[in-house]
Amino acid sequence: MIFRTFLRCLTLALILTMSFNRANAQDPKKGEAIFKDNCASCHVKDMKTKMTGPALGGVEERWSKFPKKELYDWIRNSSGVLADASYKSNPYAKSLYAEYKNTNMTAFPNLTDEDLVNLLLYINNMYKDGCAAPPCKTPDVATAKGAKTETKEAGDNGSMILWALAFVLVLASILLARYINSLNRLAQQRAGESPVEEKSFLQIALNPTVVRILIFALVIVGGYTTVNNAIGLGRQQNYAPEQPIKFSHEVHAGKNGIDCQYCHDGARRSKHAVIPATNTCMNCHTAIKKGPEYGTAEILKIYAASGFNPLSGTYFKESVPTDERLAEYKKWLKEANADNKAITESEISVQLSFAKPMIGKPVNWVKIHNLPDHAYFNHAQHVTVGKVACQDCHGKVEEMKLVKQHAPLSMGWCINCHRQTKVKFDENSYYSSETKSHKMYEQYHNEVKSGKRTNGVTVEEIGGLECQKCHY
Amino acid sequence: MKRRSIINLLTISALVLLFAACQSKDNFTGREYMPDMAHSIAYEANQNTYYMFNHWGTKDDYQKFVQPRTPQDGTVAYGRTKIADSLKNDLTYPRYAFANTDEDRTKATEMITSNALKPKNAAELENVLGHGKELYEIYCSSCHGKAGDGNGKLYELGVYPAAPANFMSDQFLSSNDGRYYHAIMYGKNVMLAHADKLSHDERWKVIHYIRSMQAAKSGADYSLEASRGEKSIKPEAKKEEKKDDKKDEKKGK
Repeated sequence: MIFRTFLRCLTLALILTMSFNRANAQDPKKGEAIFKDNCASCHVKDMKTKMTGPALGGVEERWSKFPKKELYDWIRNSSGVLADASYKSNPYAKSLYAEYKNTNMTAFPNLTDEDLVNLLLYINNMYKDGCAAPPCKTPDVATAKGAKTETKEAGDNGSMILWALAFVLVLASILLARYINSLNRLAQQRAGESPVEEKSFLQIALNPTVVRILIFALVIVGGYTTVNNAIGLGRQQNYAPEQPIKFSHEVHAGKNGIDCQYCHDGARRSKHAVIPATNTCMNCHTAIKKGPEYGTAEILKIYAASGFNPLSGTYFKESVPTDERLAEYKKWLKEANADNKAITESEISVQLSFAKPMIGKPVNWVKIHNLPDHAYFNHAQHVTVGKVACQDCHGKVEEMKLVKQHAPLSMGWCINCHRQTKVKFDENSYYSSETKSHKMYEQYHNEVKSGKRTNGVTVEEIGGLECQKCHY
Repeated sequence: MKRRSIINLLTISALVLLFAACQSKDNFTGREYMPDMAHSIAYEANQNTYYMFNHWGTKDDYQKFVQPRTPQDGTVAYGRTKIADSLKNDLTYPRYAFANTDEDRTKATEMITSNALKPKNAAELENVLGHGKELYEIYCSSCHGKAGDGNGKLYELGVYPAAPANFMSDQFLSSNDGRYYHAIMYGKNVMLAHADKLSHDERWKVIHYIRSMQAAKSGADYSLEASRGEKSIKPEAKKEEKKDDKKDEKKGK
């Protein structure tokens, strides 16, 4: 009995050391290169997440029931394994094939056995240790934290100081006035005159002269603010509504550098810049399932609205009821947040409750930049022909977490820009194409050529101030 | 006299307060006057034009008007009813001839051998490439990289988990245009369809631009003949590549 356990231990130790040696003999870096070239389009690098293809972590354990050669054949040419019933792994392969929407994996007949050993080693290392060749270097926590601490916003300290200064000055002048008053009275007493009765503060305040001055000041200040605010009626500068999904332009357009027009694809070809439909979100978020700030909470809302099932990577049929969808989402949330202890059962139910009313409905984004019905504005005209940058009118949206209306969008603002902006004729196919040429442009062209005109042509000069261009 | 002046004072301050509360901020759009002048009763794209004095039923009724709608199948875009002679027998226009299946993907890759957009002269080619570059940088470069090497910012930052296709690799260099067109129409792997983002002509312009990048990488010239599909850039490109390698080797030695 003892002998047997000893033998077992020995064999185990042998196997362990052998596997260790083998691991050292092979090169996971080579495996990494192979993975990047061939596998990374469909399999996620962390080996734990499903994408087009399954999560590869633990693949050797799953295939340990079958001969090693079968796994290699499966990697090289999966359709061969599927077609040939003599493979022991044939039934398992078929179930995998069905799970992934009956799509064949691309064949890689050129991979040698050695390549595959390296590849599998790399997969295993990534799965268990999180890097190609353990021991892994853990990222320095201190520097990471240091990078995260943001510089505190400089508050309006300046204006606070000014107000305090004004307050002190007013107080000082009131005190001085009182001192002068009492000194005067003392002087009068010395001179033998009967002193004037001291007035209370209310008496001073209700003195007709004081009231007149106050009314005058109020008319001036009140008139100014009234007129200003009346002009501002119907304008929405600084409007920054909360949106149904906490979409951050700072992350998407700023950090990730996605072009504005990727989502607002109407800007170059239509009147509207277009608030994108959820299919545009899904272009990336079929693969990116967690956000940097809100984790799964906000992305779940897109899935709810578009009817996407992140577990299977397919869309729900329209007939699938809300409860069933919620059950799937719950399963997914648990799976996706398994490594985060902060996300408890109750947090998950909160996320679900926010997503529930959005299921199967278009997202009710709040439109921020609204023009009155009697004013016409065309994005294509400004973006494609005029070559105006988005930021000129919308401000630095790529730095905004919550979009705020930057410009007043008033008529004066439009007109001002049309007066000052020079038409960009250079490398502009709109003006260079023969069909659009016009006598007016020709005249300007000749003027510029002859040196008569040095300041360029403003939008005003090509008709940018004509009433019926925007009001008709 | 005194009382009247006090009343005056109060009314004026009340007026000031009233107007001070008009300015838009955060969730508040600000006040407006004569809303009938500002709000459209007709359907407007992307806009919930519902307002307080609207006569069109409840807010829910109104919101039904502002939902995105899909056009009828086979709808041809405005101004697209006439087909140019050069496009008469085109597999990609006015309707794409292939479906979103694996079979059709291989068929499309085999059958669509040249770009449907054939520039007439060098100036037009330059225009096409310029526009193609703009579009490529908007719609493709975040993933496939500005140089087309599959190393776009999203992937480089580690935000996007899947490796985007590298257009400079041999398999993309030697593959037919149909492979690109089909991928734009229906997507491939985790990439989704971008047919809604690019029109027929724009898709081909982007493919022109990708081809020109490939040609530039291998040292070949993306000439007018090459862009019209009359001269293949493939075998030449490969030869050029080999030559380059040899040159490099010589330099190295």
